[in-house]
Amino acid sequence: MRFALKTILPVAVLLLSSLSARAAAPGLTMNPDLSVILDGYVYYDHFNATDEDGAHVFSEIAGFEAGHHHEGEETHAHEPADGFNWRHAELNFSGSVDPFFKAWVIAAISPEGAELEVAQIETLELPLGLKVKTGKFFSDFGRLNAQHSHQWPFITAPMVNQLFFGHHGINDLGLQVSYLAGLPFYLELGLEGFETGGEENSLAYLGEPPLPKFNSPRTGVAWLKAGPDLGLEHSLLAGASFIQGVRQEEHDGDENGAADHWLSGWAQVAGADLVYKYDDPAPMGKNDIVVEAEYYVRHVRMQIYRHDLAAEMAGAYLQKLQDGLYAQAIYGLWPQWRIGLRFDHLGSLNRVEYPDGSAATFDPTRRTTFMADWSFSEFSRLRWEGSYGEYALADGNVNGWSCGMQIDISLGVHGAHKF
Amino acid sequence: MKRTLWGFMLLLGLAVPAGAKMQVVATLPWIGSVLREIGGDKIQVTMLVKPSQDPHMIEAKPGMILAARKADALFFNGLDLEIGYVPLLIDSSRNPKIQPDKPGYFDCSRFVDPIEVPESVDRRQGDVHPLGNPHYHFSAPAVLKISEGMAQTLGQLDPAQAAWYQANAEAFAARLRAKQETWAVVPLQGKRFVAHHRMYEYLAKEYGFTISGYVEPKPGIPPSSGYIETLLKSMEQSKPDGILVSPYSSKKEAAYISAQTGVKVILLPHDVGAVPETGDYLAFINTVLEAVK
Repeated sequence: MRFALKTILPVAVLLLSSLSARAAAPGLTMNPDLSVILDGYVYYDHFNATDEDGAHVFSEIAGFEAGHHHEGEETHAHEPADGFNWRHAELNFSGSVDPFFKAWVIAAISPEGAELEVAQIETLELPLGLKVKTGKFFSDFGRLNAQHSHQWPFITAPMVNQLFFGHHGINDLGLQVSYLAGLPFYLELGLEGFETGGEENSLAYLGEPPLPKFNSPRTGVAWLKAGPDLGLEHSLLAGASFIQGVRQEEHDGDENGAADHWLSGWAQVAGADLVYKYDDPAPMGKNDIVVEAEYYVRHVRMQIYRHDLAAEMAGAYLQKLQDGLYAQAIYGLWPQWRIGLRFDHLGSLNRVEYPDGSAATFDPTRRTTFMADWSFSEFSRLRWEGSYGEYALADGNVNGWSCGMQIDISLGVHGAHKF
Repeated sequence: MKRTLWGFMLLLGLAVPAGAKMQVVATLPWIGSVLREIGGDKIQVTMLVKPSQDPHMIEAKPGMILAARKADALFFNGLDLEIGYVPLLIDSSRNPKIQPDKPGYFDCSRFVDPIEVPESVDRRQGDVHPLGNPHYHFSAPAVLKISEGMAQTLGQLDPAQAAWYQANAEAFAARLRAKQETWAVVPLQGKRFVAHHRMYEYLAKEYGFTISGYVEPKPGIPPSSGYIETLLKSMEQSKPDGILVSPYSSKKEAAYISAQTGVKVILLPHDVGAVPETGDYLAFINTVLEAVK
């Protein structure tokens, strides 16, 4: 869902006209509510034993490397690159359509163009605790996936999310049905179906000959979130998620510019997430604690559908069994100041079985990230981040560090963030 | 098969047993307190914000969503004070009874004439409330009107008890009016205070005192040392009778200003239950006026 740069113009006009229309009293004017999020950062990294930058290192992690060019997958510079980065300006429109529906549109504008991140409609008045959502939206798989990048407590995404689900996460055209039970404890269940689930993640679908076609929805998601009622200061929420979808690859083995072998199969990711929050009475976030962790296992199983260089390989399987987790804690050190620590651990399980019958087990990758941020007000925030990691790459292990500084700003009537 | 299905649906809490108490959710403690006056034991009140918490900085937690899911009605302050969580609660609750077009959506500020409605809104002014100052619960006449509205809405949702709610509202009004007579003679006319946050303006308007300065340079933004120096200078001129702070706000700055100027710090509860002896709404206003006089 990528638009030409010229689509920014009408959006900007719309933005300006709504800004002037609602200058008086936001809550009293007509829908939609409007906000703009600006998210920019400066970033540097250094790796020993390689001249490559972080973006490249992440794409070379043993067992996770893309290997060859994947037709249909886009590569854009969302990875942190050295120097000034402008993640995007996010235009956020939301409002009630009528008593029955609520709608959101989120357009992310970056130097490369505008992209429709979210265009969703959801029901408001279904009985029995049910809600139906459709359009293009972020899956509620896990925890981080449904959060926008400016909500993250760190500049960079956890590696497990980045490598399993790409930079846009699980976000596609689809349908979600969710249910909130009226029990003494919190229990929410959801089922989702997507076209594919995203552009650059475990669920790539090509569907072009010679690969077989699959009907939509090609990706299914199921999740549940549950937690006890711990009163007004403590909250605990645990989740379990599962996703399965079609995965296809197209490779150019002899590197002559034309694809010569094709794989088709599926990928599954299952996992669990946990969040604990403590809201201290001290002012401006002081002493508040947030602890979060997510763990995922991925199983990919694909069959060689056709091989022009080695016809006898057709029918052989490629399998990957891999896992990854992150765990992080954020603490309100002083009013307006937070510090945080995150551990990434990728590939405790990292086994690949190749179509030729060989198999390999790769080393895990680890990274530790520290952050501190300072909120000037509820609407602007400065953040510093530094990391050190040991990365297991296909051609040897490297270690390296990164540092960054981010400014995150929200303008206008910004809707509340999910827990 | 059919029976299992029904059993399953019952288990999931879809049916509310007849004769059960009305489930009512109130965001702030003062709203819960007034609701209890009117609903008595006929309603079950769940409050979402603790008296120790800053009402501006609340997040929609799963427990709150769950309470909203089961609510027959949601009572909130309005004037955008709860903008950070009430809209999300209503959406996430999936509860048709508390949607904005339903009687179970009770915005208390409907009954209030807000003061300090800005003529223009610019966030350079800090976290301003575009609809006016939302801390109207310090105004007993405003809360009186709200209590009448609550009785009406509770009666509409639970017609069998309408007369009971009405009678309780009248009893509450009578007690409040009697108290107002004693409050009216509290000598506050002409006094001057410095306040931490823009919170006591309704009280000032009603009792004829002025708030001559704020510890926060702008709502929601803590003071710099430069700003404090300016404030200290202005206090030499205005000679205030006290510095008003809420239990949840930072007291460091007020203590410093007090040490520099000799003006005493007055801890004013911002809501019912925020300090001892503020167990209900009348006791709360009573304690506020005792502290400030």
